[in-house]
Amino acid sequence: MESLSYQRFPKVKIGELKDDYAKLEFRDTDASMANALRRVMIAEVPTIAIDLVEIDVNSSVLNDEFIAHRLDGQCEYCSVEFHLRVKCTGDQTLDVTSKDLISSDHSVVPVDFADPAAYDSSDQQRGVIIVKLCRGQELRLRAIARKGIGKDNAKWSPAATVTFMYEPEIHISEDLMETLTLAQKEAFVDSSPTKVFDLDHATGQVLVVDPEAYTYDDEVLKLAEAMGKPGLIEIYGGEDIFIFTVE
Amino acid sequence: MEHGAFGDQSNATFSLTEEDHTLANAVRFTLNQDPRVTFCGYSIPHPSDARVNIRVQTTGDPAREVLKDACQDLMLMCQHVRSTFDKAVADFKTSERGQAMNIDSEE
Repeated sequence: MESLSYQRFPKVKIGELKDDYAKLEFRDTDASMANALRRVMIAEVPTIAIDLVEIDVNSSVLNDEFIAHRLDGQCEYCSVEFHLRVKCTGDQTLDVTSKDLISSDHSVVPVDFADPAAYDSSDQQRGVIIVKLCRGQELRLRAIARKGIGKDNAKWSPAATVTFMYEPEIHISEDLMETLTLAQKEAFVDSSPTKVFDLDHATGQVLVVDPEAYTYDDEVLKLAEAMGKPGLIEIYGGEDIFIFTVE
Repeated sequence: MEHGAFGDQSNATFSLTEEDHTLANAVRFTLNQDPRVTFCGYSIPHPSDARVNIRVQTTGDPAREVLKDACQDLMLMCQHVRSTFDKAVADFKTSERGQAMNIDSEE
């Protein structure tokens, strides 16, 4: 029977959540747990990527290995077969994209992270371009996608980037702030390269607008010292609050 | 694999294969939370070998039991994170009025 351990259970809060982007906040945990989570996200979450490419016909301008590399990444339970058959018959240059990859299993399709809002017309939503063909050129190949993890090969890593930062705790000394002139307060707000503070012109108060934007540069602290008021602002890196950004 | 003195069960070094900082640092952290532990640390003998040595010294309890308990605690914490995360996602989705969203990079 285990004895009582001083274990803390972390709390999770979600800031933003999109298809390909998430921002989370972890509280009451330690850097080692946050780092373990980050490492697992990058290297050990299994995904499916193309592993084997058999090229039948290739009369495009790129050579076989080049196309295979652009696609990269047997047992029927852990692999899915894709076919690609494209021939350019018209005069226009034809784009061969990831949407032309036809899957043998309809539940597995190539990932398309195109932002629908950024495209004006529907023929622009074509997926990732593999190669461009001109008249008479043809590309025919068979590709096998397998399940794997990022540790094996980076093509199986589901995440583009995973970062975490400490959330800072910012304390502004109200008494010392009152002794500054408006111009000095504005200089103070502007000295931070990212928008962390703001000056409320109605009340003349300097407010903390976005603590997460603070990049741990010491500009504001240096300015406070230069103005002769070293106790004006105090910033601690919160040691058990982590902001994760995952793409 | 456990290396330790024959008579003294409370101090031991555990050698884990196919592991790296991901698990070792998290286990070290959980071990530190246990009041029975007097010393714990980990090292990686060579970065090309996937092997981790975890050293545990306790106040008297057998080191392997303390390590097993720490691993159980770590599992509990991860399960808690998972359920808290699932709940936070569900709350977020309902507050966003159920816009269809897919979670690709999760946790």
